[in-house]
Amino acid sequence: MAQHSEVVIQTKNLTKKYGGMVALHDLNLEVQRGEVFGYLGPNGAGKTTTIRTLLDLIRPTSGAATILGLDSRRDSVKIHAQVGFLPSEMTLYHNMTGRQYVQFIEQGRRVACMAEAERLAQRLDYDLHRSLEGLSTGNRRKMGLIAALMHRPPLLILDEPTSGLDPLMQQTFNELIREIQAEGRTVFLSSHNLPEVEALCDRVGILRAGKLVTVETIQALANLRFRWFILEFEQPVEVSQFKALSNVTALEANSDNTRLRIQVSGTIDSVIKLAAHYPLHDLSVEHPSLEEAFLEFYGSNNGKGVQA
Amino acid sequence: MKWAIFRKSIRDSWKGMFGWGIGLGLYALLVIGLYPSVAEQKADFEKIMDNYPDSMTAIMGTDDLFSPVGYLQSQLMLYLPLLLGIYAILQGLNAVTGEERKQTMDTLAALPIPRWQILTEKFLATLVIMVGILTQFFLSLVIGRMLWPELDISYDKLAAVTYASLLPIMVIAGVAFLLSAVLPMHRRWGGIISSLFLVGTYLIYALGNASKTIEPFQPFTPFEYYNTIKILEGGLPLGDILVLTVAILLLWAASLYTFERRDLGT
Repeated sequence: MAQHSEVVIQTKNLTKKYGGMVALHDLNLEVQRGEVFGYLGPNGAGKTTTIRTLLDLIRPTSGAATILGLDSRRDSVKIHAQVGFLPSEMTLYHNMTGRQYVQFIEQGRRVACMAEAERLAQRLDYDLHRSLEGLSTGNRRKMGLIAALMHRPPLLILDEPTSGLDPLMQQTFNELIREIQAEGRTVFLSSHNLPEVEALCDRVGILRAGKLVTVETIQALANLRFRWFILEFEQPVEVSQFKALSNVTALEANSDNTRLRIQVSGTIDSVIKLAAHYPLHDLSVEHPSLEEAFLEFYGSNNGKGVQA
Repeated sequence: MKWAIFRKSIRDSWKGMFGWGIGLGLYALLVIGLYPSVAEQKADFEKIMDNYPDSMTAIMGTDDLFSPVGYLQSQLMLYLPLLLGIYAILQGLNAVTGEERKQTMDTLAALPIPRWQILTEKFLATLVIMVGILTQFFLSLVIGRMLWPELDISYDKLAAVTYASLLPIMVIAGVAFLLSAVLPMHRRWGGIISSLFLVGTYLIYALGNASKTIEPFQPFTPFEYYNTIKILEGGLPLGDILVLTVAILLLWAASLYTFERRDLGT
């Protein structure tokens, strides 16, 4: 992992309202240089609103943001020069080929990047000579990724980058992001593709209804709330005894009550002590997938259960 | 400066530019080609026109409908800014709301180009496209003049009357740009309001020549400052040019001011 020493994205009480509707509420967020930061949340949570506000495409109702030490409003042109952006809805100009689109972006950025665009196109198995008209979602995404990465920006802001990419290309995308991180560059990506976030990100921010629920490392998020313990006994056990334990939050038993799958919150001491009354054949621990952790935030706890 | 957006706007519109230029050019040739027979029967036509009310000729902007200048004014130049105004509205609305509707605005606005420059490059591209159309139109006037010398108007007057129409056309484009900047995503409303402005101001100008009630409103229309008879018989009226130029600059500045301050739509 790269050294984290400098704040690349910082928001202070960033709020965006549309009339009476609050799309983003008092967002306080920091992303460090060299990290891959995942921005998670269901549709409508405010992910795209955050990204568009950071890039000055929409203006905050209150609060402020800095990108690479520059004010997101006052210095937006300087920021745009140093950011690679992939919008969530990637629409291209239909009257161009990929090469012409790259040339257009080159002219707009005033940076020569055709060679890098060709290298990326090769990596993503994309033909820059083909017309942009009638491209599939995946190919539009590839073209968008090429346009976002080709000027080798120090910060990448990617809104749902792999949506529409096939698994092989997702793998290539993951490799590209790891290479970018190894170069000390920063990636801010929004997603609801949990395996992607789990595989790529150092930290995630979870957004719900315009509010940042938590910011955690991937590891901490997975460990934070709960674990499943699998207890296999040599003879049937009294399941009700386990259910009665205060820190057991869920329990599944097989038909002959010799195998229990117990979800434990907090210490496992009482579970182990009770299990010791029976001949125990095996014990194993299952950590929750990020998806389970994610659902926990949005499920029964309504996003209130995690201490950051 | 690479002028990426200007170049792209020209590239996107070259087909339209030649389409409109050729279409208007052919129409001009048709109108000029009919003039020799009109001139031959001038006395008959004048007798017919004598039976029409004065307001009818007033709407045409001249009571000398069958002289070369009167004919060109009433049959061609009167409609030029009106017809090209339609294309100017389309260009103006496409500038911002078109990009927003196609969802290409985010990519464009995320380039290191200030918003004012995005709009200015598009505005200048519209100006160049209109000059391109007017040049084709002027060439067709020159061809028509050579083929039918009965339309005895000097080439410099033809050039002046053609290129002076750029100013009212750019005022109409400016209104469409402003609406495009003010009304995010509402291309339909922008189109309706711009079209009402175009047709409304044209009617006020044309009917104002015949109605004392409407006449006071003529100075509020761009057509009032494009007096083709004055240009064809005299020269370029600098006062009119100044008024239209100031109007264009004000509309452009208002568009920039609005576009700089608003959220972009997707």
